[in-house]
Amino acid sequence: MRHAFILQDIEHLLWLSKRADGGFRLEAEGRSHDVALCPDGRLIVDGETTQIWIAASGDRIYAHVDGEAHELLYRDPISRFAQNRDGSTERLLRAPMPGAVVATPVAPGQTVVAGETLIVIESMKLETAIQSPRDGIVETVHLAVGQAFERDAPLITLAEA
Amino acid sequence: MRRIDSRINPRDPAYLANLEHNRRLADQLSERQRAARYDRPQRDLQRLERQGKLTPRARLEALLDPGTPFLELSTLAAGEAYDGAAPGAGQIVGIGVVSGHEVVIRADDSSVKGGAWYPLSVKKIVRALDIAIENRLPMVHMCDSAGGFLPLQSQFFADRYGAGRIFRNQSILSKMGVPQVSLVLGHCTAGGAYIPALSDYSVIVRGTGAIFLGGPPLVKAATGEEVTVDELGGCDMHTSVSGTADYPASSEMEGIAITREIVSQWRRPAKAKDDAIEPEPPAYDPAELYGILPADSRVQFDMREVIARLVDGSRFHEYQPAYGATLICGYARIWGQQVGILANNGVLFSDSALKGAHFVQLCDQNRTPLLFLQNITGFMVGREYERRGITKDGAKMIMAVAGASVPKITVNCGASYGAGTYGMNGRAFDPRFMFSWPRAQVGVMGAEQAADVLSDVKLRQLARDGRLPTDDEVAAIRDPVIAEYRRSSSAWHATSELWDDGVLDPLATRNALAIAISAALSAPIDPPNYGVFRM
Repeated sequence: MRHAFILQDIEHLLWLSKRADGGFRLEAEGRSHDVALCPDGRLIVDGETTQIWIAASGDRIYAHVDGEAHELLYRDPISRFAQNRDGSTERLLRAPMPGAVVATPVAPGQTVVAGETLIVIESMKLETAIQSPRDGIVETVHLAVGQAFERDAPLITLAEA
Repeated sequence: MRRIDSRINPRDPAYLANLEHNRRLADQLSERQRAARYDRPQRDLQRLERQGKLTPRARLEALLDPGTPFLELSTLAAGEAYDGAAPGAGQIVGIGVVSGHEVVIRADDSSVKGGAWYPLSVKKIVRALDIAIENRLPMVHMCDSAGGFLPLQSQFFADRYGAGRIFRNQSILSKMGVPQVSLVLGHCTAGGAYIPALSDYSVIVRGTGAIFLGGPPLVKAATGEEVTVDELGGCDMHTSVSGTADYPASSEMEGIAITREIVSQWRRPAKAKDDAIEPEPPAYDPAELYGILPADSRVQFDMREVIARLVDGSRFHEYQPAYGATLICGYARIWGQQVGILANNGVLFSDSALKGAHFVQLCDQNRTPLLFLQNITGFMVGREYERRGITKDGAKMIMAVAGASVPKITVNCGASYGAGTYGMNGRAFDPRFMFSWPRAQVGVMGAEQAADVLSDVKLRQLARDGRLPTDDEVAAIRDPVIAEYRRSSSAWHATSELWDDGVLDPLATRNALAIAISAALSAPIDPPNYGVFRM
């Protein structure tokens, strides 16, 4: 599987392989190039030399070449191929353990963002805040404060995204 | 590898309250550490100066390679014992770099009661040697002790892990081919005399260093012989006549220089694993840990948020992300070195225990060191769970954790209670290193439950006398019980008793773990081998 980089909103699929003589071969856009990057910043592509400055920060790579700055973004392959990129599409949140409801900070119809606390439960003397897996609208709050429930009991239903 | 997607809200009032609470705890930790290291009665410091001795901290600094990391262990040992008379249990222990070699350093702190050994001093010395044995790390001893603290001798002498264990451990370490050097900077009397004698190498400082089974007063009492310290066991006698010590030194600094040259001669064994990759700092600011860890210990938090601030690039390969969700398992890297993490995200159920047992075996097969991040109130209780075999499945997890051959490191991030402590590689399961965060608690059960159990006995007694206690009476019985239980299950108490190897600031944890993992990989890893799993 090739690596995916985004350059100016366009996805490029690349692969870098090591040659027997120690150099590198870059596979890009159906073509193959001999490449080398020297410690002094010289980039040699198919025998042609350019000066390049590179800085990386996490998945972002900044390259300065020919007087122009470019930003490349590396796309993690699992995130790239995941069907639902914004987290869960599950509408119904169930109790991870038996317990009782401590607080219900949201009401039906309310708009919530990912990570917002939807309901607080207590189990085995520990309080757990159940957070929204995604942005959405609360459809149903299944339990009231003080009510006890078993594991897997429905807690909150989010409206269809 | 994907990054953990953090969901914290730094403007949330709870986050801000946590931030303040945890910063206060971190300040408290650094103040306690500073006091344990440096606060000494003026007369003790003056005595050292009069004797021409460096302070133990100055000796340590001269011994270490400048600019290299030093992981000090059990700084707050005995912090809550002996009315505070023995800060650090009168011992300095840590892992550091001497002449380019990773070593365990153990030094008597002669600014504390003349370096006398209290019961917890002996425990700390034995633990330092255990660390050397388990991790095959060479050891440097800096000896300057008045000897065992006689009034408490019954607590540190005769038992299996009493003072004799120090000398047994020294012998075993040598037998394993791991070198030790002792630098004698003060008196080594009675049992203490065996520390340099059992070291492969020893250096002794002229004038202040001495080694003898019985000092001049004891000799006079026993045989009537009058003899000076130097004649009886001084530098020149031992290095030129008895051969008890190897190298004479004219000053402490020369002795330290000789010690460093000895260490530089030692071979450097290969690490058990050598596949670290280029390290990457966490993508999320570790300082946010203070806002994540709840001020109220009864409030649960998502351990993924913690992992995201400990591991390289906040990248985490989560194993079985949808199964047994109350135990998070997965691979990550810390300073380039791979670890398998088991972290609590709620009470342990059968499925989480099975997942943990399976993941431990995966890591063992893959030769991946294990990191346990504890925040565990225990296993789920109740009829339904027993019928489904919660005890049996917990036993599988314990069997896997106890049997794993790869190094295991544990951090108590919040709570460690009951059987949860066992399943999550508590002290009894020989973690190579065990650390606590300042907010951590450890005990058979939580304070509230324990208070219920303990006060119930008294309340039933009242009931037998035919009286129904008032709310005030219940509180009067229950509140002191809770307070005492909280104190004795706190991180300060745990580290005072050496139930761990030290309390860590959450922000210092990533670096401490890197040193611990590197140390742990100094020992070869046995092939995977387990006992019988109850199916």
